[in-house]
Amino acid sequence: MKKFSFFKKKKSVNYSKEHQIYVRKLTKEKWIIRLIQVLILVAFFVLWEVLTMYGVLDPFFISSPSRMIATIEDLYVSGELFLHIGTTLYETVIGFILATAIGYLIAVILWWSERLRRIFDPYIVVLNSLPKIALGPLIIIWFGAGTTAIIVMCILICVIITTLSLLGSFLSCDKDKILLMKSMNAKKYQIFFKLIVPNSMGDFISVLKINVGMSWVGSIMGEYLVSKAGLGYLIVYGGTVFKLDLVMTSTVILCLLAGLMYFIVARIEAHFKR
Amino acid sequence: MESKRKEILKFENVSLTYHTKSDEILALENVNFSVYEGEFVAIVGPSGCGKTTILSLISGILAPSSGKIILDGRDITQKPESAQKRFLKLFKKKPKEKNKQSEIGYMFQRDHLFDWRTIWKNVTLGLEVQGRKNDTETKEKLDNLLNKYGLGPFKNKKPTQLSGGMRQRVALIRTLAINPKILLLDEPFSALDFQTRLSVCDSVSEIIANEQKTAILVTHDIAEATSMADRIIILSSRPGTVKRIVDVNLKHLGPPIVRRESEVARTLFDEIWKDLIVYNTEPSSSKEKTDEKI
Repeated sequence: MKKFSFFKKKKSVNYSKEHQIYVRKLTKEKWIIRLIQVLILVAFFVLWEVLTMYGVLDPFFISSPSRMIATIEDLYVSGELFLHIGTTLYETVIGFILATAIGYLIAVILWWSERLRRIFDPYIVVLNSLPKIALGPLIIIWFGAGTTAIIVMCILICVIITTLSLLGSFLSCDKDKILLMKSMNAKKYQIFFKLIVPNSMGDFISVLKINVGMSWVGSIMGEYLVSKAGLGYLIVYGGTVFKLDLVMTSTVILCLLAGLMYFIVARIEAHFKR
Repeated sequence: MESKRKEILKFENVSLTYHTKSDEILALENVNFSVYEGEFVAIVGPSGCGKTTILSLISGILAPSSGKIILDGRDITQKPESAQKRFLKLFKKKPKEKNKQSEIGYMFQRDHLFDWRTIWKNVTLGLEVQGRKNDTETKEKLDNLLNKYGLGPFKNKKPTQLSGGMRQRVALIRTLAINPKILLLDEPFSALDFQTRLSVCDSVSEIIANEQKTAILVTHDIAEATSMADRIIILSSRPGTVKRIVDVNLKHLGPPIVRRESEVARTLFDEIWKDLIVYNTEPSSSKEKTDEKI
């Protein structure tokens, strides 16, 4: 079994001098890019701070880094910070996992039966193009104004695209490979688990990556519609009472969380590619 | 001599018509031939004559419009049971078919090794699927074959680390795990460069001879057919019919690479080449297009 590790370990092998120079060049280039990336971020915040400090831009409308830090402090002291982060994170992660699982399951069923696939094709196409936010009011009535409704929203947004991408990936498997499995007297479930699943692994990872973004859309949109807590709630609340510090702070925290989730998926991908 | 040997495959007046929504095309007409156990038969013919169609018929992907195909004494063209019968069968206790021997092993133009499995896991896929993980005898045989053809050191490597020729050898060894009655080789060398092709031809020919397997090779390369096969079936252009069956019997000369150079093989090559060139003037372009769709 391969050990799962989040960070790569370096091998210690003695390579030639040319190789060492080559590797050093690669590493150097990598660090230059990292450095510039960080510099852009720092410059952005510094410029933001300086421009608002000297009154070139009005911090009432666009906030400023120092005011955002103060806002985070306030939220932390009042104990609300982790409540909001936790609520949104919980909704997003549960929505993400459920949507992926349900989408996968539907894709498997549709792969299994060609007849079902052909029957449901038009329904799926219509559901896919329907803007899911239009179902918002219905969801609130059916599931109540709370976390459940938001998770359902999140699932609705992710599930169809998950099914469509995975089904496409399952069906794109080479016919000759399937024939080969059949020549070994493989049963359908064996063809599925030994060929179709591993063959679609790359596409599954891309689906996960898409779903990371989509599930955040789902949970924040859900919170816009109906919520008593969460980052989406903070943004809407901040907007209505003109506390733009709150809006900006929540947005930045969202950026960080979404980035973190993407990073985790990317690590999982790297694990499977090795 | 042939009458003594067991007939493993027989085509009896096989015809096939393709139906599309807008057209129907007669692809094969009254094809008759037999393949005997342990024999290496090549099928050559102009492009679009239905060479690959014949393989699809043998493997049961396609059913003939008329005629009979008998594989190892069993008529494989018999219509499958009706849905009603199959449904009723669900309630009957049926004897478990364990270790049912595979009928057909494949080698395609592409090796179709599973990239996520190591070479050894690829080779033993058939055993795994058939629940014969403890079949040490077969495993030993496969291991020996891998070692013999220089693949031993790559057992735990992934297919991406192997060259095209090595991958095709692995693909052949993989089919031997399931011990098929007949091997269908669908232009397995055409994606390889010339040098590799010659050496893979030699290995494949040697493995098949040592394992005493029956093989049918479909190829567009006449030299390949004359150097590897015991008999060559020449098809005419569409609708495909058996134009001629040529006895080759050059096995005594040595491996294919030597047979290729022999005078007999060259004469045969010229003869067959003339056969095909006459027919090449006939097919119209529209016919070739429909073949690609199929």
